[in-house]
Amino acid sequence: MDLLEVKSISKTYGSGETAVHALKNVSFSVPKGEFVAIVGESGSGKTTLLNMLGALDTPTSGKVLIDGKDTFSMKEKALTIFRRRNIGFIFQAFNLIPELTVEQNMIFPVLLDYQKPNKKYLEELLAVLNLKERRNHLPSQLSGGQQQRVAIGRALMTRPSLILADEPTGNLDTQNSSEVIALLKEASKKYEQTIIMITHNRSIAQTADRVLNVSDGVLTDLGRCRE
Amino acid sequence: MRSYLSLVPISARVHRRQSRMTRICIILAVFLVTALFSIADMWIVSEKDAMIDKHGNWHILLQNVPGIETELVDGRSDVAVAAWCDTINTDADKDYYINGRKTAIYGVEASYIADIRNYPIEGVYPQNDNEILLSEDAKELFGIKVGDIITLNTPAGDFNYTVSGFCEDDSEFNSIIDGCCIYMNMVDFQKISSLNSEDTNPQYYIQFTENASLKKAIDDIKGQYGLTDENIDENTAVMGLSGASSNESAKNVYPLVAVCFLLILISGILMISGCINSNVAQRTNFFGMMRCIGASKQQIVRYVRLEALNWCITSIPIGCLLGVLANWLMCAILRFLVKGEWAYMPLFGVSVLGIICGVAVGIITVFIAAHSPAKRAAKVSPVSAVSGNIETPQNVNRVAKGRFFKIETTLGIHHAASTKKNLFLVAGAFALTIVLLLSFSACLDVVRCLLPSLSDFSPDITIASQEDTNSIDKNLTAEIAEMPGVENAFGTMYEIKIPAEINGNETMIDLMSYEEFMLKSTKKSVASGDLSKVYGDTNYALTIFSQNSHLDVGDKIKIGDNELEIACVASEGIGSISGSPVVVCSEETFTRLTGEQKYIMVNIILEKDVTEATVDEICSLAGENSFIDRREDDNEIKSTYWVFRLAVYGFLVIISLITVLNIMNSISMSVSARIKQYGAMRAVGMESRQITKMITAEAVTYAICGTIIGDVFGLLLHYLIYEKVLISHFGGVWQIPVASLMIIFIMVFVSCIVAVHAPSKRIRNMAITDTINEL
Repeated sequence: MDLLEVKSISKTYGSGETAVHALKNVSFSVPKGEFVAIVGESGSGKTTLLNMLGALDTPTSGKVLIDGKDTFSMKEKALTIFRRRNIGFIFQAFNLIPELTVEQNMIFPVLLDYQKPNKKYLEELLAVLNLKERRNHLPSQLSGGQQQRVAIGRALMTRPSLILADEPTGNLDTQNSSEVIALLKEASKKYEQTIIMITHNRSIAQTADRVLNVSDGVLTDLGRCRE
Repeated sequence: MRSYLSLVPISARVHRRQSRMTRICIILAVFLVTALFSIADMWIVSEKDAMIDKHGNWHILLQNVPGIETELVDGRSDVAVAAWCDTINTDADKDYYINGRKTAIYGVEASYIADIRNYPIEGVYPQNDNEILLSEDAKELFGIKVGDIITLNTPAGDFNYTVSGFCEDDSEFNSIIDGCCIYMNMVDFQKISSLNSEDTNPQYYIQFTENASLKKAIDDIKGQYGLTDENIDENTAVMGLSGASSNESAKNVYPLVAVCFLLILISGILMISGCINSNVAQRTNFFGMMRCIGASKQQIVRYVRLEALNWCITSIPIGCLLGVLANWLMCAILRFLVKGEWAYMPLFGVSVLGIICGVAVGIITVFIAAHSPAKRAAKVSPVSAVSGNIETPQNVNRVAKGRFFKIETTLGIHHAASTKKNLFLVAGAFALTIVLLLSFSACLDVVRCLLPSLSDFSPDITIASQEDTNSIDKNLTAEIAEMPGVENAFGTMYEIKIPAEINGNETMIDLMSYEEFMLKSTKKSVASGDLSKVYGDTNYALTIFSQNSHLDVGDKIKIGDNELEIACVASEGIGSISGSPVVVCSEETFTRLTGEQKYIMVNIILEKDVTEATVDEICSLAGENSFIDRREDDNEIKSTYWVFRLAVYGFLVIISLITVLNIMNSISMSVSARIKQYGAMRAVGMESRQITKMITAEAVTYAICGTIIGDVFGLLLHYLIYEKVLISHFGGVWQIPVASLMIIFIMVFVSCIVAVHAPSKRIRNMAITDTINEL
């Protein structure tokens, strides 16, 4: 079954002569547990697409269905809760809360949902992310790779079905980049999570299950990489 | 960490510096209200003490109630003290004497002296028959001590009594009757009273307990004993301050304090809201991230509110503490420096009401102030976490022009002027505070005029003719002026209601003379015209402005065959006695017009170190004329003026602070909105100095626009207040308030410097990459 269905979404900024068509009639679907990479030139519309998928921005036309639910028909409050429970975000700039420790940063989204963090799962994640010894450190005491691993941990903590990552390796060196990608892949397999990742790095894109290319707002499926 | 809100205290600990300004604002608001209410509370306590001292510590007295069972009244649970008191010769018009001095006789119960009058006693209340208490003054007057025997002469014969003690009673009363009071028990009193066939009116004084419901208790007693209003007399001064009497005067302080409370509340909300807004604007990215990882709008609102309330935890106690300290300081100043009616201010009193109000104002302001920034934070789109701040104006249609300035200055001005709405808002904030300040300064002048005049020739002592005629010899002034400790002595001649023609119309005028010193002192209050023409024997006079009679420069006044022309209008001076227009001329002119050579009154200004002997000498020189010593009244006016000035400067400081904070926040917000641009500029080679210059240029643009708008509207309002209220009631002319304008310019200048300092430091301390990453 497809977890994510994108049905001919378009996004236009401005109007008339100055209109910019950021996305043109984009449609695709992603089955559960798949790891998809989106590549494309700067300004091609990748981030706009990712914002639509995460329901952070609304399209000019079209629909996005996550687990069969139309995200744009939801009211603000319902959408927030849906996003909180079903979508995890990983940013290029990590966006961790500097005042909180590794562990506190990871459980923060669970607290926003007024739930008790699952300790067993937290320990498991810390082990998988290799952050056990750093659990009481502040983000400023960590390397870039470690910070991004915390961000991944935070995204995984609510066990979302969809993880959206905007250039998660953009600020990392090669070694850390491959570690982060390996972790994402492992998570996607272990917890059956769908991951959609924007990257500029072709070799990283090659490690994904499938690669989509966005060029001038038009999406083309470059096909599967690993068969 | 149990809840997402646990982040609030953690974050607050780390970012103490960032929230410093907000905390200062909260402390300020709490401090002001605590201090204000505490002082008001202390004033009421002191007023109550003063009233008790003056009128006695009782609530009601029962009179003309023969046969009432006072034991029953005394036994009531809501009655703290009750005591009988009866008097003979309190008007000092009958023949009761001790050693030839007039004597008022009081028959009292012990608790009347101790609890109702609170008179300190040396010795004891009469324990046996033929024992009496005497006024403290009698000790010196008669040279006696406790245990001595004195003789009371009454119309019915002489009585000997043993002095059991002295009590410090009302020495003012004693000096009025030029004698003393004696206090005896009721049995002795009744003996004297019946032997002298005195028809006395015994009164039963009642003091209720602190918590008693006074109105209910009075109604109860009335109902129980069938008393009418005539049987009951209320001690309105004391009852009013207990909030129980229908006497309203004591309650007047509360509305005044409530208005101040409201003012502080509003300005507090403005200040704190501005601070939190600026704080929120700097953290757009954070709120975007929160939204991204699942925080709802409601949760963000809650977060910002709690963050604000969290600041209260430390700020409110500090504010309260400062308020209490300020209250102590003020009380000490009023008690020891200002004195007068403030001498009863308690020294280390803590006002619970003041603290409660301080805490309330802290919480209320913060809660209301956090409302709009919280909503603003909740509105931050989650996209801003992914793609940086999207709220910066995107469409710039105008090109930054600047032929005269360097690029950074041009850009700064352009930033300020590019978005009209922003320019309007920030310049409006400047303008608003300037308008506030200018209109406040006009109101200040009005209040100053409402206070009794403290002009240079307000005399300490006046000697006035008994029959209101010009009958005091001119030599008297010279004689008094020569005395040591006398600063000045000057006389006035006066003709009340003499027929005259003003510009051909027949009417009455009050004509008076000013001697040289008075004319010189009038110089400061000249509203229009030329005062110098009035000196010497001339045909010119001056007039004192009054609302009823509009004499103006150039008006011709014909008195008999002589014609005078008004050369000058003064706004202050000795006003009209009869209500007719006042015409003032020099002594020479007055004598020529009326033939009078003598003064109606002589005014004397004393030096500070004048001895009582000099005053007594002046008193004896006054002879048959009335001798009026105004020194005590003047002191009271001066102390009121002092307190008024303290209050006024306090408020000016608050308004100035609000101005500075407002301007600082406006500029800080504007910088926050453009922080990425500044980062980019630094990345392409702009120096920190240039960044500072750019922000300065922006701030100065806002300041200039705001100052121009503010000054125009402020001066207009200033003029209107002057024209409508001040000039129409007190006369004078409107002048540009140069001092206020200077203060405004200095304040704007200082706020610009302070406002530029913080944001430019923020940008300088930020790594270039940080600002770029926000792109």
